[in-house]
Amino acid sequence: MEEPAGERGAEPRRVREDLLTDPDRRTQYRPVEVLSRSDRFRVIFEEELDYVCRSLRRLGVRPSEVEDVAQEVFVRVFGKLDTYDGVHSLRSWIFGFAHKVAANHTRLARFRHEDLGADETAGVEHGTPEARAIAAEARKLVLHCLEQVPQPRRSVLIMHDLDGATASEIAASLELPLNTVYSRLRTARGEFRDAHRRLTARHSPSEAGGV
Amino acid sequence: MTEERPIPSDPEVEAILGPERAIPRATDVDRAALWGRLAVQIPALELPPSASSSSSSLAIAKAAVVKVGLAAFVGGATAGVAFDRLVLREAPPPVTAAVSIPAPEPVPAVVLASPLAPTAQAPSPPSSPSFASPAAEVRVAPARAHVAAPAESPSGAADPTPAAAPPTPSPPSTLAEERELIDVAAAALGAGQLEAVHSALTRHHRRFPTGALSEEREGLWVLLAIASDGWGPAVEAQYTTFARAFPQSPLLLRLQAARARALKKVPTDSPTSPQ
Repeated sequence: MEEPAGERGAEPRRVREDLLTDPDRRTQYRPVEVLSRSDRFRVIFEEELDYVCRSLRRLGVRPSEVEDVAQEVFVRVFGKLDTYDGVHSLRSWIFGFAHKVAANHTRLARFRHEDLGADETAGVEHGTPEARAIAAEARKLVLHCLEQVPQPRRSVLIMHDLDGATASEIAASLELPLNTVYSRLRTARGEFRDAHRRLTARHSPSEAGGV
Repeated sequence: MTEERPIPSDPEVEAILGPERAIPRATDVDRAALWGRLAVQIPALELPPSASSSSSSLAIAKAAVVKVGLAAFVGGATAGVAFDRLVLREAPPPVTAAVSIPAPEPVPAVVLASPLAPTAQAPSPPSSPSFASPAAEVRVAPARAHVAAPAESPSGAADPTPAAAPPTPSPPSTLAEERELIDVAAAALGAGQLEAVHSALTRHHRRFPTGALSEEREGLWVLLAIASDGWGPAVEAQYTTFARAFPQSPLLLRLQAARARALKKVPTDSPTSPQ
């Protein structure tokens, strides 16, 4: 990847090395401080769009609305780009926006109805059609279980157990005290497990989406 | 201050989350189109690279096509009036700067205008004028999800669907194709077939992210959103984006009317039976 030789103003930000080479992202970030604002945003958009969309689905945004809500998330990201300090992971920071935008979005009654018939095969690319269908059903079940976890706690669960964020990253991103993160995670896990038991007891996995 | 401590994993939760973690990516979002919309909303951004390849024809197309094609598309009385004003302001106003990035030279307009002109007036679909009604009805269609399903490569900036997109479409056919998709979407919206609208607009988005008829497409997106979900924050954002990008669009009148009607319905929130 080419390295633009620009420099930005006074003091370059410190960016943790591991944030630039997170294997999960498959590509290496260029150090953000050498890019212009719009270039930085461009990189973030390219690298994190999938993550944002995935997170929005986990946060209860319906598939058909993900694109619009993602747009809103990225508008906010752009607006606050200069406030990102590089101390915590970029994804955690972005998740904070997704969390807020999704919360606003789903707060309206009309959006609360979850799209139980949604096609979750979008990210399932490999295998036979049957295997893909099974994977999609399994994913749908997970999303349904997540739905059962009330929103203040769901984000903590997603960030920690799916995104691998640390407690301090979660605390910074969601603007919570550290102890609240611990307690919310503990509660959320219990709720999530309960939801899974309920759903799997009531329906076979193949029917879980048809409630 | 509390010190951070590692949190032990929960094996049961881990196991349940497995399928979700295995998803390599989760989007059937058209990233080029989304970037295009962001670029409209955030003037500091540039249009997507995929757009720049077609951008030369784009600027041209706008000037040429819009006058012609859009009269047919909007159909309504308000329509024809402003569409000749609309577009690609050569001296870009602040809001639309991002849209009008590509070559402002209006020179080749002739090239595109000529092939398009004859076809544009003729095939206006019979059902196109019924735009306002579906927006006001606030249908909650069980549509979508399946609509955007066709396989795509989100990484690729230009990802033509195999059957529909020739590798290097010539400008005339491009414009004709654009019009066709927009017409289909408009007609479907008039008929209340929201899935079909979504499908046509998505195809237009993918194939012509910054096409000559992107104004109409964006307007239709807003109308579609209103029709399917009523007025909400996402629709409001779409509407704002559209209004900023196309402040003189005649579609704005329709959108404003639809907005007023939809907002009136919000308090009751009682689903009106479409039949």
